[in-house]
Amino acid sequence: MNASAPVVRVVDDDASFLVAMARLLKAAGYTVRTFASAAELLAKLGDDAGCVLADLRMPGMDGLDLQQALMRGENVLPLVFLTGEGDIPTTVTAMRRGAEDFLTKHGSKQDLLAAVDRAIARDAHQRAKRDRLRALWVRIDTLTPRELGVLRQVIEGRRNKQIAVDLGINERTVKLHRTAITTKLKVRSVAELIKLVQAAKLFEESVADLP
Amino acid sequence: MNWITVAWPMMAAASLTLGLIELRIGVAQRPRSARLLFSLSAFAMAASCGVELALMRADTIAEAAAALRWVDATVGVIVVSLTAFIWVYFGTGTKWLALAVPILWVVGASADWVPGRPDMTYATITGLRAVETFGGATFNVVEGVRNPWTVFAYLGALAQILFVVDASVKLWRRGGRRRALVVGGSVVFFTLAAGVMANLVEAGITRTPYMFSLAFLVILVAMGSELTADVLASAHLGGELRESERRMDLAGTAANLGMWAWDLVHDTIWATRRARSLLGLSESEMLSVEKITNAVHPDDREPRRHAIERALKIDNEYEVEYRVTLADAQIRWISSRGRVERDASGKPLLVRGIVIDISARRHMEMKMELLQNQLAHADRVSMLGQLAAALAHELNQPLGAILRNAEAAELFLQQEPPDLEELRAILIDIRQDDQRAGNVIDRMRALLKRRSFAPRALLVSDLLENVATLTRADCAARKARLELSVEPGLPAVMGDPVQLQQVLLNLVLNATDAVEDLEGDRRKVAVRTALHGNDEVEFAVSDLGLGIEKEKLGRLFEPFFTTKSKGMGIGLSISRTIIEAHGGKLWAENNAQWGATFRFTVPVAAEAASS
Repeated sequence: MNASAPVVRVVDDDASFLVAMARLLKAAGYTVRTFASAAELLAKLGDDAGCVLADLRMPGMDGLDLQQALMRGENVLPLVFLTGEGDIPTTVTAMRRGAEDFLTKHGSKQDLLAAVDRAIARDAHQRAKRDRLRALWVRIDTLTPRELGVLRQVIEGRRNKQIAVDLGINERTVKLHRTAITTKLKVRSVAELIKLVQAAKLFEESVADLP
Repeated sequence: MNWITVAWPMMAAASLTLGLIELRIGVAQRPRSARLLFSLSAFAMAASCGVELALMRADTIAEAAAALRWVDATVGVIVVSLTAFIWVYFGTGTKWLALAVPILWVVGASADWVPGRPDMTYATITGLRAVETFGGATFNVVEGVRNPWTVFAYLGALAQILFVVDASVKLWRRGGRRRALVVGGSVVFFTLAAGVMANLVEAGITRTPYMFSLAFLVILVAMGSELTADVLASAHLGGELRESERRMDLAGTAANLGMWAWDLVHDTIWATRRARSLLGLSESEMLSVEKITNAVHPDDREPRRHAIERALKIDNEYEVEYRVTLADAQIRWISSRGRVERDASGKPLLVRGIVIDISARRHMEMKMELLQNQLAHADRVSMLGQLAAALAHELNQPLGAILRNAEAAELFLQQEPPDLEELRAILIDIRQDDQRAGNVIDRMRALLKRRSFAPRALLVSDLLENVATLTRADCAARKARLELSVEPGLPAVMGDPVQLQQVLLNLVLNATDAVEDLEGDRRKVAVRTALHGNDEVEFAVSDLGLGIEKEKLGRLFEPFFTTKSKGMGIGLSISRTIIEAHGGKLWAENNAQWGATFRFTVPVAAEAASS
């Protein structure tokens, strides 16, 4: 988890609007950074928490382009769109792609701040989730290929004997592997092990293969 | 009673009378030399009658010799002046023959001044003899030895006969048959008869006096008949002139044409009734330059004066249109055309011209202009409709900024102590954003207003900036780049700001449409301006689209012709009308590689052009 305060990044090609928005957000207590274009934001994105407040309509890279670029990157920040007059097809596209919110440029302050808060909260939530997952993967990455093989069979509910036959090893060796797995992944029961594997979406492809 | 003393003076009187008539005409009329020459010969003939009589009544040899010399002189004048008369009157003849006549006569007549000899006819006079002729009249005849010098007189007469015959033949061939026959024939007859008779008298064959006067009667009759023919012809011409004037008047009335002439030398003005009534002047009043100027509407006086002055100085011709306020306060539009007539040195003598009532045409033109304005307005409204979404965005930016600034200010005020520095900055920004929004609204309102054509000097950069303000957001929404370039040092143009913006907007929107569906770099619209010749600025709006199909290139500017599904097809047609009303041209061409370029020219403002 990142310790620093969440940063609200405002992107607008209109300098005057950019300054005004930054002023309001700062006065409301947020840490704000401003960018004159989507390209500038992407270049200086960093990995701080927070959210992005972007004009939907900008010359060059517009709001929707920015949304796609953010989703492909490392720091997937929630995006709140600002628009003069949102037309329906653009709004639908943006929301379908996961835009946090859609606000008009002179919508009420409450709506604006609430949307910013929501976006920050969602970022914090996603970030926590991502951190947990990352920690899981750190543990998973310590498993040897053999241990991973055994783990897969355990998750599928096979007995030690079956696993031993399948892998052409001694049943006792299977037991030793299982102990190593539970120790390395810091779980106490098979139920916990299954929960962990599901959270990490490990062996997802085999799950998808199920009828 | 001696009839000779009666006949000769009568012949003299007849010659004198015709001579006086010809002299009077010669003095009054141009060209005068033919008439004056003939009157000279007639007067010489009258004198000749006198000296012939004196010769016949001479009592001494000395008297006869003096009279003979006078006969030589008067006959010489007659022969020479008749030769000159024919030369001028016929306008043709052989020059050396004409010149031979006076030369031979002068050579012959020089014998008159040889001492001891009476004249060129006689070497010596032996005596005088009284002769009785029919009717019992008596006269004296000179008897003497002939002078060989007299041959020059005969050669002179011969030269004259040859000259007149030659000139008559030439005139006959040119078509002046009556004149050649009557005048040429009579002169030849006179010289021939006089010559033969003189010879007979001098040789003593006939016992008669010299009778040149009698022979000259033939010429008098011929010239009298010429004169009669002239008088009859001029009477006929006068009738024709009156008829032609009546026809002219009819044509003028039918065409509603008033005619006038201004005599610059005497500063008088003549005008037809129609011209007077068109200008609202009465039929009888004396016209003056001032009176006519006063009839013209005050606002139109200066351009009219300018046009006339220019015609007098340079052009010779002018055409102006002006208003005349009639007695019932109605306005009549007049078109006046004039032409300056000058003397040989180029000094203006007369201005002749016409006035026509063009109120109906003017009225029609004004109606057309009104319709044109309404159509142009409809086009602007439709264009702003297309731009509405983009312009709303353009307005929302400053409005949104103002709102956020105000909200921020509220929060700053809640702080203890309030951050006054920040609040001041906010207020400055709010004011600027308000101006920005106001600018957009002003420009939109200018385009939406119904207004008439009002040209003035405009900066090209201002025009482009206004167009950029209105189209920036639209271009951004359609992801097209708008590039503007103004050549440095471009002079101001003369035009109506709203209408020129309308043309530019039309062209820029069309160009943006043309590149809207294209990829990346080709989504570009360029507006360039440059000096075109000395007195025009050319605007070029280019795109990198697909260009215009050849068969459509010619029809683009037709009203209601469109290649777009949503277009009305009036934008380009109105744009062309607008540019033509500005005195410029609008045309389209395909670019060498991609897309098309629309170009138009606008004249440079006069004060900019002169400086």
